[in-house]
Amino acid sequence: MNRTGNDDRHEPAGLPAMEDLLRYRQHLDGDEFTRRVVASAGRRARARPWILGGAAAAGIATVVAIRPERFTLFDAVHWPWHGVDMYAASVPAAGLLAMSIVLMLVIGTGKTIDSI
Amino acid sequence: MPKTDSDLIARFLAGNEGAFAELVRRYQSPIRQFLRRLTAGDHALAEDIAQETFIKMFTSLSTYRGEAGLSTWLHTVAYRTFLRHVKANARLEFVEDDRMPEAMAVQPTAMNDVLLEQMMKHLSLNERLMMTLCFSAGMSHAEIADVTGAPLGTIKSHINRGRKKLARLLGAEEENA
Repeated sequence: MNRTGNDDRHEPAGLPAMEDLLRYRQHLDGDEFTRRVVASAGRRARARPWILGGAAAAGIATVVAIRPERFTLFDAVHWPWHGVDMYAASVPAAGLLAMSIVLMLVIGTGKTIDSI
Repeated sequence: MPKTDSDLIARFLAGNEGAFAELVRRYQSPIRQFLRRLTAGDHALAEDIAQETFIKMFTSLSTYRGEAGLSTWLHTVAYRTFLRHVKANARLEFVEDDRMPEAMAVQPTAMNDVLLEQMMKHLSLNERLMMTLCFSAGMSHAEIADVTGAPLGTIKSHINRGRKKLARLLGAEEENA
């Protein structure tokens, strides 16, 4: 490591250099730790696509269950400007909502499995 | 002939899991020691976070750009994982300043890892972090700033405070209090 720019080398009287005082003395290099990490990482990597696929399926099922075609938010809005309300009403609110729910569920699950 | 980190990373990204195991073997000791110091000797918690750190390396190594050394990058991942654990579990031990013993009955030259881990309880989280990165991991202040995201002035002041506390614990005189 490059220690250029550090100015913490003066020590209180009676103390050895901080590097000597705080240096790691043991070397932890057991194979058991490596084996555990490799096994666990492999298991999670295999589980990941299944979890993401499951989240996407759950998202789609949720959308179907709440029937977004009944949502008429933009149809009900009457904008003050002539014509704007027509454009707003033509926006496929149900499709947007459905897409947002699926996206939120998949992204949320993706973030969660990163931290599992 | 020993392989460089870049060789091992390239092999791992090409699908060689043996290269990943080699990287874990290479960096497990500094990362596990770093976390033992941060947790002030809670070895079980340190092992869990170390394992988590290397699993994150497995899933995120493709995002490593090589701007900082792999050791610095791994310390950053370990520190962030540690912070998340602390936030979720809050089982760290601290000893308040007013409960600090006059001086510990040990010779500074006879320090061992376990004793140092216990002494870390007397330091704040930031002091533990900066002191360990600076003096144990041997990082420059710029590298510590990369790991912690703290400004250089803050890093220096935490190191100075931590050094004074350790000196007090060991019963050494301060040159410039």
